[in-house]
Amino acid sequence: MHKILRQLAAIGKQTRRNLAHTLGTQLVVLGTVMLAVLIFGFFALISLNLARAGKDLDRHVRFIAFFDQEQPQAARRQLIQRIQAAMPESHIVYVDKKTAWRRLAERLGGERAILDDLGPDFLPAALEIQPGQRLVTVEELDTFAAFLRTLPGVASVRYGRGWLVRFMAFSRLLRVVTLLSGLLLVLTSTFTIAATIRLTIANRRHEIEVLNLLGASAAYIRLPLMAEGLFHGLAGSALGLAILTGLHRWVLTHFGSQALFLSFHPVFLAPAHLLLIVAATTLLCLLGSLVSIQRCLRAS
Amino acid sequence: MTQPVIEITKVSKVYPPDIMALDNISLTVERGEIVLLSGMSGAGKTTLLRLVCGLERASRGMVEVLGHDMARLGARERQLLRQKIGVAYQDFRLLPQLSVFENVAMAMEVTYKPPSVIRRRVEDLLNLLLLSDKQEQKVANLSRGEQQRVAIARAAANAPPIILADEPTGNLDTTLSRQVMQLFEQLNDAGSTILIATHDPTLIDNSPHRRLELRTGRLLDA
Ligand SMILES: Nc1ncnc2c1ncn2[C@@H]1O[C@H](COP(=O)(O)OP(=O)(O)OP(=O)(O)O)[C@@H](O)[C@H]1O
Ligand SMILES: [Mg+2]
Repeated sequence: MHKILRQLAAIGKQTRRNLAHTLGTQLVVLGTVMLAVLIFGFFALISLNLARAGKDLDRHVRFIAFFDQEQPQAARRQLIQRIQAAMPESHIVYVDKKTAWRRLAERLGGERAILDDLGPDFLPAALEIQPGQRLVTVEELDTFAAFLRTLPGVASVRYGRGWLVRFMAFSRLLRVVTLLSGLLLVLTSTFTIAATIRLTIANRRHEIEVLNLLGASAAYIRLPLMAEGLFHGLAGSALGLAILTGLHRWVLTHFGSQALFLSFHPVFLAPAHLLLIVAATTLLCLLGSLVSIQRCLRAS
Repeated sequence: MTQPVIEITKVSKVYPPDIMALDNISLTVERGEIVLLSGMSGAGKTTLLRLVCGLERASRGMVEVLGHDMARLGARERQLLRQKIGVAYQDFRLLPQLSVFENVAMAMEVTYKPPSVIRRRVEDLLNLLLLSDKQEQKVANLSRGEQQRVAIARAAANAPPIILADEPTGNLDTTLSRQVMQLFEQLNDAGSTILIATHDPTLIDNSPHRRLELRTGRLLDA
């Protein structure tokens, strides 16, 4: 027991000494890890928020089928049944001319006077349909709209198609871009870290040689180097995420009002995600140091 | 019957392409001995020490150290054996960026000695070798003679069963040479078997210890 404690103390001391004696290199490694985590976190944050926005959008897809005239009760029920059959669990509301008029008046508020000239008849009756299933592609949207048009009495169907198409294409593109850049980042950062650690080991070749001559065990030589990798991973990722948090706060306080106007509140990475990033980075750094240690120490 | 600490049997060492550094050497060092190994430059003194501490393998013959056949040593055994052999290398092999204290302490740290024990021992040794005031100095800033003494202190730090000293007084004046020899005698009294390679007459002449001479790779009993 005593010996283990002494071994741990020796390894701790060795690690501290290593860190102190190569401060410049250590700072570079730490900075590299930090930057990699920061940039990756940034992409992850964008992609997360975009995914959420996209999901909200799906939920907000609404079809409005306008009728050329008010539909009697029986016809309404029949229409609703047919739509439910085609798209189960949809949320369907029949809006008669009067209700449509009242809603518009409410929305206009103080300027409702413009409506005075137009009779309560001027807005068409409509069915508002929120599809029960997610319609992901434009084709699906179009198919459903085409189906609605075949219903008796339906004059036209609206669902903001042009805007949806553009947003979907854009979000798909962004998703691909963020995914690719994230991947690229993981790769580059892993290589950078491995290379930097290899460099630190190369710098410490002489010391490792002397330790070997003095009969130091493999653990005595390797554990401090691994501890170093561990430290780089933990400290680098923590620093990177701290900066990301700061940036997120800053964006929220400066642009938060605009974001709210878009009825969209930017979220931050969940604690589980943060932990995952720290763990993954630490693992990568540990892996990088292990690879370098293996490669450099096999020679001696 | 006590086992010899070092037993070298019909050993030759050939460096590529065909440099015969050691030629059919046989030599036994018993526990508690101090042996002086003399010979001109290039005679093979360093090579012999390197065979004993396992830095080099014999081309022919057998080298046994503390009962281990050096040709059949596993990595872990070699490592443990190295802890039992303190070596003061001819080229010192110190870490120039570390302090005098750290360099000497390192030998004890790898054997996980408690820090208080390390401190006491290192300070004693540095005191003895007149290096107390240099304790916190970087080794890079020391003179050759000072570095040499640091190397000797490191070899002696663990009071190991075997001490190999390669030209330990090469850069020292007579007084310091005597001081170093005194240290070796103290270590010897404490139980270390010591093999010293040297061509320093102040060590060799009037020495009560066994003396061997190497001449172009061959051993002559002097
Ligand atoms: N790694 C090597 N490769 C080739 N030849 C070597 C090597 N090491 C030593 N030699 C040669 O082996 C011979 C013995 O060398 P060694 O270093 O053992 O001599 P030495 O007695 O220690 O000399 P000195 O007193 O100058 O230190 C020399 O001729 C030397 O050139
Ligand atoms: Mg020599």
